Amino acid sequence: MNTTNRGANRLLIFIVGLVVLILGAASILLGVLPAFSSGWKSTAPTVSTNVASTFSAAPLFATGSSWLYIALIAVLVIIVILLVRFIVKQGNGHTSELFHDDTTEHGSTIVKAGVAKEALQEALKDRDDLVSSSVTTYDVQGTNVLKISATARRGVSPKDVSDTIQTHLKALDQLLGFEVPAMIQISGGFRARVAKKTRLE
Amino acid sequence: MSTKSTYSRIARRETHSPRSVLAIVLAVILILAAAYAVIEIILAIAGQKPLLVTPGNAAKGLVGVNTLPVWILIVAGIILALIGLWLIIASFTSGRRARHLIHTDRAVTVIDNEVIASALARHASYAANTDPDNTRVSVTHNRAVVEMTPATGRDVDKGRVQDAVDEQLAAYDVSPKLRSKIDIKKAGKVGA
Repeated sequence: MNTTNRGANRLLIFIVGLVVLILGAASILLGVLPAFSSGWKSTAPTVSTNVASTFSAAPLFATGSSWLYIALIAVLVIIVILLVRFIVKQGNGHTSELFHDDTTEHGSTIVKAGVAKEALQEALKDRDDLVSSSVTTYDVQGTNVLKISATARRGVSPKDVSDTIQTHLKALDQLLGFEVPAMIQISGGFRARVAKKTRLE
Repeated sequence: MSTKSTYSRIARRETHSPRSVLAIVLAVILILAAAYAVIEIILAIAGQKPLLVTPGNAAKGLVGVNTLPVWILIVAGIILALIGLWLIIASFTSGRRARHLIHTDRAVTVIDNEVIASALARHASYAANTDPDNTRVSVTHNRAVVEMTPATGRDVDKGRVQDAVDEQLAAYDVSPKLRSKIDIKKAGKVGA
């Protein structure tokens, strides 16, 4: 339901995995292949000296350091900012509006998500077969979608729960005069297992 | 966007893992590593003592990595390669969640397999006249396996259990479809 960029998640995992795999493979080759090891021995110091001379070619005033260190810091900070942004963007997509019509000369109509939330939660509150329920609204690619999560008691038929909630949804449709797409999530889990026993009708 | 494609998008996303936890963990590790590198560089520029190692010495260590004992290189290499491989596999596999869907015209319903299992356990044990606690049901992607331990000295009518379970499955009409398998244990249990 949320707008988490799953492709980006997988891309990050893939890139990190690839880098780690390459490092691991290089380490194994260094240990196993004498040719690779001697190649490293002859090449690595040259590369290191070249890098060091590049760094000293751009001195930072008289500190004995290099401008390139500053550049390196800038790159690292940008990477950190991008990664923080990446983390913060996970799981977004909630919306507080259920419906927003096109503005006419008389004004516009906005139905807040709270209307559906209150109505559905009030209807589901006193049901014996549900341990808890919650209603949220998401914006799924421009369509506002209701998400009704319910934790069912042990042994309750999911079909019954689904049908009941849909009956309430249809009542809500009547009330609002339009249909909001909906997703019903029925879960079990810890709360269902430890909930107090009760007699169901 | 049409409601139908919205529903199919929701159905797909709710039955597959977003891989968020793994991605966030990796991102946090990268952030910490980058922050550490920045601190070491700043300390080196300011001429202060390093936290662990100066950037220059770190580079020297990398150059001399081939002088490390062979077994360390191989063991470290294998561990890194396995982690890398696992991450690559995780980035490609679908990450299916233990959930089923019910499609109706008004809404799409996502159900944890656990809920289906406990509902089947209740109906199966009613049909067999045994305690629900002696009925184990496991629901996987396309199978519902019911294992019952009858009370000693009592017969359980497998056909009735089968009918009850199939009737429930037909009523739920989840997708992907579930096939049932009933397994009545030979050895009963006293007081079950």
